[in-house]
Amino acid sequence: MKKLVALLLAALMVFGMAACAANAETAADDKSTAETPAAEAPVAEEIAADGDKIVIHYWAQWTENEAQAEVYKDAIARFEAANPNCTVEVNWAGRDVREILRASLDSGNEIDIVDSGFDQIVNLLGEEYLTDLTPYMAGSDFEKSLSAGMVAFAKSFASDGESWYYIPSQPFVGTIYYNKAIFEEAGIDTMPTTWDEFMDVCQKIKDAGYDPITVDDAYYPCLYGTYLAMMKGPEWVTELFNDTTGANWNDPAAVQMANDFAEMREKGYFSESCGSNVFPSAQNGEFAMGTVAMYYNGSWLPNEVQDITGDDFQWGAMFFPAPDNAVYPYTTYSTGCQFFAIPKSSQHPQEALALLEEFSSLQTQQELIDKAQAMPVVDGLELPEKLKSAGELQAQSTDVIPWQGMYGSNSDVNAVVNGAFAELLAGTLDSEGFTASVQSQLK
Amino acid sequence: MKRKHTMFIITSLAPAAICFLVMFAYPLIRTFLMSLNQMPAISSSTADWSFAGLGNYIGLFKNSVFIASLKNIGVLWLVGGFLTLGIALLFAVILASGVKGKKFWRSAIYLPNTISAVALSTMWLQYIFQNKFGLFKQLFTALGWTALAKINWTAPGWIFWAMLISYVYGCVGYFMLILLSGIEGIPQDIYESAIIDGASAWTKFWKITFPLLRNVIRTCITLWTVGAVNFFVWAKMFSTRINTKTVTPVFFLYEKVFGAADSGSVLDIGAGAAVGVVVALLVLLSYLIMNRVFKEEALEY
Repeated sequence: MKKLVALLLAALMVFGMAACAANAETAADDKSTAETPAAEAPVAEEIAADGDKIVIHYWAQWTENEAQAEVYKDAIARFEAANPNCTVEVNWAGRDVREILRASLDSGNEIDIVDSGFDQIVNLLGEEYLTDLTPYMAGSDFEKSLSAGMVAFAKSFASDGESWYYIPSQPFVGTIYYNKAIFEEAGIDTMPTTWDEFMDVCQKIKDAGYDPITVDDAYYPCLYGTYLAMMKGPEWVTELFNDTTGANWNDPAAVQMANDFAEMREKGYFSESCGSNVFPSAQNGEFAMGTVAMYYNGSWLPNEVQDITGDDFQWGAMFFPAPDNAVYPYTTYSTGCQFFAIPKSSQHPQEALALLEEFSSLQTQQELIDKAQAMPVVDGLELPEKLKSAGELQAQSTDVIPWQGMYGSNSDVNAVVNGAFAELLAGTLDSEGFTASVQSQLK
Repeated sequence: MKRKHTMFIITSLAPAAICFLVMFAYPLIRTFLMSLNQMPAISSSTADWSFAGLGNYIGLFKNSVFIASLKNIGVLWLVGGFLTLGIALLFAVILASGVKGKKFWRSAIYLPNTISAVALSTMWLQYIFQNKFGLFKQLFTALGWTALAKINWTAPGWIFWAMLISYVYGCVGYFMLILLSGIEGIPQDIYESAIIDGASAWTKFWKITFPLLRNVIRTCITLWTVGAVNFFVWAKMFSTRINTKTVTPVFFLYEKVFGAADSGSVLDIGAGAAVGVVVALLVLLSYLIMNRVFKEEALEY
């Protein structure tokens, strides 16, 4: 519940984003501050006074040729220039760094900064392995520079809900992206708020000659998880996906979810290849190519498919429509964030934190927006055209749920549900068959 | 003198023995011990372990996903093995028969092995099996084979077979080379005397080539078995998220030990270690069966 409350607080981020998206003048003013060198930060000043050469070891979740890596390399250069007694060694390990983080720390590797998805950092390392940064963060300029929503989100994962174990690095918005040109052609000018309205929208798109929606196997949980979380909340979904008996899959909410998606498939609202799309078939071959109108994804999508869509693609972001009897309103979006953290074994937590401050500076954040189309962790920056729709969606939101609608899951349940959901989308199982299949395999 | 000799043996064997103990024996023993315990992380010290007895193994064999994974590799081993070794043997016999352009064909058939499994599986998934403009779709449509053209290869009912077909494609060249070198090791005068005796190509294959390839075929089956039991990369590529259609024991192990990339899955290291032990036992068992079925014979030409 504490997490939920804190997640709701994350909606505060909205106001920052709203301001950024809407007010270019303010952003322009702030850009001037972005050029303030990191050396002027109090923590960095202290370091510069130290005589010994300090090596900060940063294990990144980016590979060296990614846009994020390019931005962080520039930030590291600025940090090293401002702190001549510090040098940064980066292990550009890529996403799979998560597999080795804990073992690497256990085996005594010198790591001063770790970097991964929020669920990975929290579940694989957590407070047992990470430094409590509260003494350095509380009341600091660094803390004040972060958006209120990000502060709330990062603190919500601490056991006391107040301490600084996790530094937010790249938030994202989960949304139904849509192709505005198709919506316009289909004569849709109002976004659906209820499931019935969503069905009407799908029918109009189908009548206009397009497939309404598609999904890749990688994002099945975004559909069923978000739907179920809207119905009964993320805690219930987390429980459902950790219960290996499958007892709750005949709950009315789960049955309704299967019925609604089965109905969409029967009416031809899912693209024909749904149920057989292995990532990124649907994303690249259908949505980005303009043959399908909607695709649930995170705010990284415009960056990921920009080589296919070009600059002409008209990006729109809409809320997940509220299913009948949902406890969450339609103005709910899902979110997550990449986290930095400093292991307890770090010999230089203060210096490492100073580097993270540079990573979170207005200049670095603006570069991340420009080069990696990333959402910022600070307020006062203008979002590019492709991210504006997600930013505006945040601005209009009232509630937040975690990405995929749950906090964690059991891989056995995932395997069974994913297999059955693929069959539901492919039409080889009806809704009753879906429930029966899940329950028979999990009992 | 004898002592000097002993010292020489010890010194010579030490590097290999140390490597074996550190790289194989220690992980093997530790994995087995881990499979009898529960622990929070793969690198947890033994002080953090809690004894579970055979609980992890009992849990595995009650787990429908693990059972599905065993069934999947069983079908892969049997059907895929029959297809791979059958096609590889056919190609090897054709190439050894003096067909024109032997070097070209040998290289062409082996070529897929030079491409990484990730690239190869992506090619199959995103192009050949693509259900709108994919190679199979276009080819079968052009040939008028509508039933085949209609197959959605990556749909739940077909994706396992699609994975199997593409894996077979990736493996044929490797086994063909092994079998070809085996056939080329058979003295030509045996074939020549068979020809003089009026033997047909079919008779030569069954009476000469196949019996004399016995040891090579046994090696191929063992290698195929090890590959099938440890099947992972192709399964991961054919399903971004774990599902019962394509799961294999090593994929199951991976999810238990490392979790899914973005769902914060609950880990079960002990179960993962138990899968590792079961996989090792399967390989050992298959090796023993191979030894029993294909008894090694010292062949002299």
